[in-house]
Amino acid sequence: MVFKKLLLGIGKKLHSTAKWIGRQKISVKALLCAAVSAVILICIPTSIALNKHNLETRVTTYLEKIIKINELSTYKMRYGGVATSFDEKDPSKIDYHVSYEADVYAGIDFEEVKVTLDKKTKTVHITIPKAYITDTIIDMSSLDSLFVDKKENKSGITEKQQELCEADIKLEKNHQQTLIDFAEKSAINMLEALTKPIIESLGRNYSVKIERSAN
Amino acid sequence: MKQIFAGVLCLATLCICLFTTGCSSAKIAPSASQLKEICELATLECYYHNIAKANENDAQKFLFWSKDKHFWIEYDAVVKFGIDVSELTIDISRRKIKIGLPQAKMLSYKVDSEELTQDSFFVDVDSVKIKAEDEVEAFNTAKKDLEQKVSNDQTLISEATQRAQYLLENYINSITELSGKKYAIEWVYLDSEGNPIKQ
Repeated sequence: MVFKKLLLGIGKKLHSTAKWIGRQKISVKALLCAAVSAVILICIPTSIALNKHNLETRVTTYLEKIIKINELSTYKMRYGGVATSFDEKDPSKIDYHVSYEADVYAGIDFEEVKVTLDKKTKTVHITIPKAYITDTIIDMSSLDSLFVDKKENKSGITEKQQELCEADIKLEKNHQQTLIDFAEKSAINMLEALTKPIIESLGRNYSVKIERSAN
Repeated sequence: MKQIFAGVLCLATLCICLFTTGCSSAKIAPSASQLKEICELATLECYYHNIAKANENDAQKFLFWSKDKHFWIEYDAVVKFGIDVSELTIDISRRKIKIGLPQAKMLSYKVDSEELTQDSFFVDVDSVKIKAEDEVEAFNTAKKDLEQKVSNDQTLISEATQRAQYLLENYINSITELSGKKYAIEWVYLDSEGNPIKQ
């Protein structure tokens, strides 16, 4: 019943509008022109907005894809260190120093990189996880010793020296942190090179912000 | 009047078609300035923690008695490798991009001498006494040696060149993907003089 009333109301309104148009002596051509203009005015901005939205979504998804499959995920560094062996009975006395070279690998897990788009500020936020040491390989041929206690210069010492070097590189927290910082910086530079030119290509004042994850 | 009306209709239809189909991809195109920017960002910064070793036989002699000079210095250095953007050549035609890519090289080199402390030195017990000038001389020699070694490090040079090439290629592929227009890349590898290297 209510629906019938509503339809009747709309019908009456349309009828009165048509009558009003008739009274105004508006030609069919003018009416069509107005309709076309209305279509242009409504459709074009809607279409632009939709395309813009689609493109933004496509770019964000695409960036995420190329970041995750990128081939330059590791940072390698040649590290030269010195490990010191102390006397077991008197730890204040040094037995010898052993120098070594190692290849240290660090990087970030690119699977954990997150790409989000802030439409208000027109900023693409890329959040990277913390970098970490992925592997350490000591070059055994590089070992060289400086003996403080000459009695320690005996056969079979190499195994002990290797253990000493492996322990030393793990304890070198300052250098490990420096290496991690460099690995993160390298990842940020690479992500910037991967994403910034693409974002700039959109030509809509979009910018990229690469941030380290708080966790 | 009819003609004007038909014109308005055609224009409107054309506008709608253009904006609904090609608007999103029309603006994305490769640019030389962005390719150069990528090369600048592709720089590889390497951190070195190194040991310099000084060894001089018979540094002190008295009749048949002699002593060597033998000590180590632990120091840090930072080296930047990358493409010199001024040597990069780019030629973008309609659907083809020709890139003249020079080899990466050492762009900067910095040895941190201010970080040296007494703990940075390791002296052999049999060595002659090490003076301050010995330390300075050994450190300067080490700096020069590392600079020469690093600037000729083919692994690092190749890694930095590949990094730049990968990022440039990735950019062009991305433009192809997002614009729907296929761009072909022609690589020309340049020597230090800027001449093409024959493959």
